[in-house]
Amino acid sequence: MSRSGDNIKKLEQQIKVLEEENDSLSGRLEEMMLLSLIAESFEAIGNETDLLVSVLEKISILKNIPFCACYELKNNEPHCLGHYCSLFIKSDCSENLKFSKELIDEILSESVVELNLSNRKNAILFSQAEKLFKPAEALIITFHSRQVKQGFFIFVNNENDVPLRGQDLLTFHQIIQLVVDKWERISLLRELKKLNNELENRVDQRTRQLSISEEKYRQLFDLANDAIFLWELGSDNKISGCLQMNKAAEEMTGFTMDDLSRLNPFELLSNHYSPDERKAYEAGFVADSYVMKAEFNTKKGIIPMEVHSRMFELQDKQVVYAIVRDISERKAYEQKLIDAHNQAVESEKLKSAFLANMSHEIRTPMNAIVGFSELLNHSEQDPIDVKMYANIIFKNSMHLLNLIDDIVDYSKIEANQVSIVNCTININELISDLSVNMISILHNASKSHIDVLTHTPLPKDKAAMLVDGTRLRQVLSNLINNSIKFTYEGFIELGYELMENKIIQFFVRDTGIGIAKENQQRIFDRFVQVRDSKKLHPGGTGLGLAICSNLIEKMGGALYLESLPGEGTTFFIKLPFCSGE
Amino acid sequence: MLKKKDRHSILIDNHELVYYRLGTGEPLLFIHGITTYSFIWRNLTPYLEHHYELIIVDLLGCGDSDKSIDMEFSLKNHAKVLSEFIHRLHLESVHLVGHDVGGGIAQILATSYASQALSLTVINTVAYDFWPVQPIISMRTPIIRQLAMATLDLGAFRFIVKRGIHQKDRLTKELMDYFWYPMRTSGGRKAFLYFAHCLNNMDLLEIGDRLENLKIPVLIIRGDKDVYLSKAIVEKLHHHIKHSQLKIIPNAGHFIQEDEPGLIAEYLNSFIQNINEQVGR
Repeated sequence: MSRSGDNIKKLEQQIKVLEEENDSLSGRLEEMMLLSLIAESFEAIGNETDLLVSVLEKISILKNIPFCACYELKNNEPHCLGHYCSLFIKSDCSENLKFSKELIDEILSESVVELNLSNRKNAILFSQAEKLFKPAEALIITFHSRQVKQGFFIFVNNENDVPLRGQDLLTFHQIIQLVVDKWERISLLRELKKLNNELENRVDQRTRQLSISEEKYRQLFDLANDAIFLWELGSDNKISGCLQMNKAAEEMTGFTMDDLSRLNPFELLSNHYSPDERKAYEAGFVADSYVMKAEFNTKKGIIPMEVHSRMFELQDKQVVYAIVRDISERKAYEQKLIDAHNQAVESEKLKSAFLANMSHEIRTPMNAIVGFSELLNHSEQDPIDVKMYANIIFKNSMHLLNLIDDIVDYSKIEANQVSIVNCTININELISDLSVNMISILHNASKSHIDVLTHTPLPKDKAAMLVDGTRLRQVLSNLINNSIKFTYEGFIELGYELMENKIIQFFVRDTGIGIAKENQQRIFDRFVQVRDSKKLHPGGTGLGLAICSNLIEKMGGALYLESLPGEGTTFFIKLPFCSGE
Repeated sequence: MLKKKDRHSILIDNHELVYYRLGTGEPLLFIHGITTYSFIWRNLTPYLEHHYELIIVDLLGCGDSDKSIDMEFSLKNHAKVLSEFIHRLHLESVHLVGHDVGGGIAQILATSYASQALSLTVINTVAYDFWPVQPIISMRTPIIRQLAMATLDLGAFRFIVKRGIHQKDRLTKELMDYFWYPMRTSGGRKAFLYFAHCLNNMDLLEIGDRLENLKIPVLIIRGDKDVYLSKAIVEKLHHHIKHSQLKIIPNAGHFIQEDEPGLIAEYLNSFIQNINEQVGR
């Protein structure tokens, strides 16, 4: 009996030992659990207060301590940083606790303070009595960190709870260390984040500034009135293609980036440039700075351009910046200026020629008139002489009158004061009249050996034509006079032909000296006379053909000539043929 | 599924109590246990709402009800609150259905507020001094410590739920979300732990005698695979309550409403129909 009693006692002791072991193991497990839970929950928390409250809650729940809090001591005054009270009815109990001065002093001098609140009733005062919470013991552990120079954790248990006194403090220290470390990490992270934000802000600001500036330059580029191109140079120093072009460039040339991105612009040089010229242009273009004027083929035709180019380096690339201006208008303007200048020079020359001619033309008959008038004044004149002098004076006066008429006519034409008056005339009669006159003039000029031929294909009753007869006669007379002047043998033929489309063509053909090809157009200009240096000057103002040409133009026709030097000349007058009633 | 349109709340003793009310017929009051709340009954409602008026509460401190801990969450107090609740709903009496510690509350209601009880059904219930594991007061009690850790860690919580369900394929993410919902806030965790803290077996020991003399019909249901509560509880209850029926469901664990909702509904239905036949209703 006693043996079995002993056995039971032994077994009970063994059970007790095992239970204690079990307790201690489960206590360890609980602490490990607590630490691992706390460490795990750290990952998700990024703010000190949340971290603290979460840790205090875990300690409270797992170690079954109803009141857990953390305080900072500033000037020996405790300020609550965080708290968790599982048995407090009011959720906020931070202001609930009052510490006695003695306790604060104790906390300042000791790293761990343990106290039984029933013995030291005044050390900690809970300002509100709680139904569920009867504070029994307090455990205070101090700490120091970067942010909290002096702080402490306080744990208060409830009556009937497992006593705090005698508990292994290692877990508490470990937890506090974990919290403080994490705090530091959070605060460092926050500082880092702040720095990062500042940096980001600065980068943002810079980027914004850059984008504004980029926008500005892009606008300058895009909205420029001149065409602007950016060409890239290849390694062979040849242009490999266009990098960028603005709107004006597109509008001017009709090309798009797709057309030019792989093109050397000098392939577009107008066809009339020689290989040497092309080479020179291209070489100049890839020089540091260059100005050229050249014509380029574009989608909008050949355009003369002035190109200002400059080469520079852009992000390890050699590029040429080219500002291009369409100078076709300027060129046209320049041409006009040159033409005007030439005309002015020509006019000046012609004026001088005219003056020289006139002084001669006027002086010659005037000399005759003045000289023979003076002779008439002498007494004892032979009547035959007197008649001859009078005749000479008359002829020269007539000559002078013709000359003045010509000048007046031409002035009228220039001043646009000539009007054309059409009436019906018989052109056969006109030709006949003129041929009679011509015979008479040839006779007077001692050129009777020159034959006069006429050609009038229309029968007399059908030769009526609506035309300004006076002007037509004036023109034909002039042409006939010219022929007489420059013909020394052969014939002069006067006539007309009917052409297609109701056109009539009058002609005056001679076998005179002819007109060299280079002079054939000039002779229609004012004050121009073609002279044969071997022959005597036939006289005249050089205005006749200019007047004729103008008059025929006014009548809606055209005056032109065919001529071979030495063989003769034919003047043609083309007029619309309106048969008169 | 419990619907928002059926959700109501009422102030009792200055605490907001949330409940669902749906269906028409004789009223059934469903009382959940610890770690759960109204959601635990959601799979039963489709079977019953066409025959009965279902009233499903979130006990104070649980689900969406008031979390403040200025009222003791003892079974006695919960029973008192629910009695007031029945009264405030203008119901004379209800069929009581309780699960886990809710079964304990239902027992107190049936004994201390007998006039409000038409019948008593307890499912995987606590009773007498049988608690999940004894003793219960200290935090050192393994089940309570498990609960405490579970409030802080979804993994630990999942472990508890998993052990309570026999048909493991029922443990979906949706179900875990339901369980975890109150634990996401500090107030929810605090109230939950306070509920655990307030459990006291004296509440049920007190009514032991009266329970045995109950005049109303009693139905006792047990999931045979419940690892948290001992089979001895139902055996003792069935033995002592003279007119009680006992149903053992073989393939069900502690959270039997997840394992076999249809079967529970069927038992409940025939139990209540039977009562009505007997009284000639």
